[in-house]
Amino acid sequence: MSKLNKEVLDDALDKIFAFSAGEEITKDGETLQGKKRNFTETLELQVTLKNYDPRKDKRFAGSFKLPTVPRPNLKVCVLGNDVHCEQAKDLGYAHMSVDDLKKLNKNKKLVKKLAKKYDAFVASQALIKQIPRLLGPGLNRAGKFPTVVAPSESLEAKVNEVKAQIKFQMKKVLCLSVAVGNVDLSREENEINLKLALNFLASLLKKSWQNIKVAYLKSTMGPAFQIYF
Amino acid sequence: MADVAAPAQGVCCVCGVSMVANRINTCAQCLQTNHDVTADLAKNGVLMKCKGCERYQKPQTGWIYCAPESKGLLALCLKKIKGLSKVHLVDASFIWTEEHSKRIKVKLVVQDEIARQVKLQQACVVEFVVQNKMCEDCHMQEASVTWNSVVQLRQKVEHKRTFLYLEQLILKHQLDSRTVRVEPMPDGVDFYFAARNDAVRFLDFVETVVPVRYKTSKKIISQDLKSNIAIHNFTYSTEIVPICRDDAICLPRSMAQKLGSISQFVLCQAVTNVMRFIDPVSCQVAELSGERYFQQPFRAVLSSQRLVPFVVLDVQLQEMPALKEDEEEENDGDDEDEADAQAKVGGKRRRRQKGRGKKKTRGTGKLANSLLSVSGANLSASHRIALVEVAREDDFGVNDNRFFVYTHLGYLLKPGDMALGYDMRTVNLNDEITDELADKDGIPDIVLVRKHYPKWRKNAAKRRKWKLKSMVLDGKGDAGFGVVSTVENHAALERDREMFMRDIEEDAEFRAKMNIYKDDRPAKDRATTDKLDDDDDDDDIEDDAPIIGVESMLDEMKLSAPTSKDDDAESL
Repeated sequence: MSKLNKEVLDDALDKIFAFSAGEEITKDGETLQGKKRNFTETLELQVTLKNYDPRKDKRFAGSFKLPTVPRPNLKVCVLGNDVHCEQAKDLGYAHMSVDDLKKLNKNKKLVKKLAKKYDAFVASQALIKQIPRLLGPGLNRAGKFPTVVAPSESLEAKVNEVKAQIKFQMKKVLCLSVAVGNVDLSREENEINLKLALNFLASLLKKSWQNIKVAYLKSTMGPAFQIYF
Repeated sequence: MADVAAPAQGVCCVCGVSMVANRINTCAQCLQTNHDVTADLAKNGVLMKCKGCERYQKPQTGWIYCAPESKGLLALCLKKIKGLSKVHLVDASFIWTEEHSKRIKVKLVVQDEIARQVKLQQACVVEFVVQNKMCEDCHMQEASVTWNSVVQLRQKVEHKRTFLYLEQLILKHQLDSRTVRVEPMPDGVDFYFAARNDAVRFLDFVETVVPVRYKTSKKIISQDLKSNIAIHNFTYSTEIVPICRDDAICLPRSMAQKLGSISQFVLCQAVTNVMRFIDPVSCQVAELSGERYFQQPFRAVLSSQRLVPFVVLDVQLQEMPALKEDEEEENDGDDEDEADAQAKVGGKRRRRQKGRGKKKTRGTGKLANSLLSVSGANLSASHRIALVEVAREDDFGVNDNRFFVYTHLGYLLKPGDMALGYDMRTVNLNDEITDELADKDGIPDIVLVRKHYPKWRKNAAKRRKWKLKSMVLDGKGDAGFGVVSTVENHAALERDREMFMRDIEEDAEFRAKMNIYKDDRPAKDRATTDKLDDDDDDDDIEDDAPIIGVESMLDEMKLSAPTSKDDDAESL
């Protein structure tokens, strides 16, 4: 199913792990000195598309839940009703109520600030309908429109789900990038995440794998390795 | 003086009675017995009256309506009295008679000269018998050969909005006055005319307001071979194009090419005597006449009943390709570097465009120009392409399905608004052109058609301070054309009417074509349905809700005491 070359992928993963562990690796004949960073490096998948006209063709968008959370430190903000705000307080999540949102007063700068501050949002069902009117397009533009959490769902489960979720959103350019894992995860977990993410992207595309030009895998501070040609 | 004061006495030459002297020396009594100035007058007459329409027959002129004891009736009676021209009529008046006696009595005072310079004045009564005679019109009606031509107007669509629209136009232009009868039919209306000219005139009018085609046929009713006369009934079988405002259409490929290479998937924006199409993705517009339509007919893929509400989450206005062409040329030199840089950095470009306002970049301009040269595009200036992020209202708050769609409603929509559109993913279309187009990916998933004002709509019937008149149809009362329904489905009818009202509210151009009237009734009486929220407040409606200003409404003419006569006149 996956059109990824196993050897190339293995090689890339090996080198990324080695690089982030501070070991010396060789890439394209050059020797690069790796460095252990003071934070958990994220593994990022970068994809360029081909045979795709963003003006003419449909803009696809999709989200997919990975089996393991690629970015555990993702900051999630709960935009909730009273019940959810209470729960969020107990669980230690950042939260905002309707009144807090109203205070933003549709101020674009404040909304932008809010969008920057957090990586993802979840909102209660009752609240989400008001969000376009209260906040305007700020969150959408940032690609962080809240995910719904139904009254019956557990907030914690939802937040974890949001953390594990990856989004592909086609914009005007043909490049996409998404976090699929981190160096703290095991090699297998990373591999599975990566494969699932790429397969999912391919399923969104009109001609699946034929629309993908190249795919790169890289860690936050490391060099990029081409994994798909 | 004394002579004058005491008139001279004389003796009557006939009876010898003494009397006041006069020229012919005859006393009044003898005069009366010997002379009768009314002798030549016919004392009896006959008046013809039609029982059906209560009109009197007037010789040579035809039939006229006269009120009892009216001037008109008196004139008619005087005309009927033979010999009245020989005497001088001094006075005439009616003597009251009971209506059912069928008698009309006229008291005349006439003068005539009986000798040189001697005039005699006498009174007499002429009695008329009112006889029944059916007039030609009533006769025709009775024999149900009231009409000579019929215009059968048909439109094969699922709703009746076109007929509601036609009804208003007919009322405004008072074309209904010439019809003998208007009958609702499945899929349309029949208009009956007494004269063929009227039918043709009516048809000409219909042709100017909607695209139609018609076939004429005639049926012989009677003929006189000897004098070469035949009486025909004419039938104009008229078909209105089955394309309506807001319909989604897949044009046949050759048709799309003929219409300035417009995209095959278009929306119908308006139907006047031509159909106006707009491509929601590029704002390209095209017009199609009925004549050309019927050369290569097609059907709408989806019509407005299938519209579903969407929530607009984000609106990003896009370049309008053709309109910026001139500007482009001017800015050419200084923009070059900038533009190239922008073309590379997509994200930044957007931000900068916003700041620059009207000045457009060249990066996308190149693309636009190429589009222009391909299509020779005829773009709508009143629309703006926008990339809009929407979610179905049903989905919104339930799941995270959101879509990016190109729409022509860029000027109208703001984030947080509602829009009506077609969800093409969920519909099952059974149409060759559509299948072909779908294979080529020519059909967008979502098409936004119009802005939606749900809060205003919710109680629109109550808030509306205007109303329309409706025509009186045979056997259907004054319900108007709305009753023209294959299935007499009240809910469907209300829906069509509501959509029609909505069109009137939201489109000033459309509104200008018809007369709308002030509705002075209090709000609670206006509502047609009972299920109104009493707690809803007017402050909560949309800021830009389509409220019609009073200046475009007319005051309704009110008849203080409408009689049955007036009602009849209206229905004709």
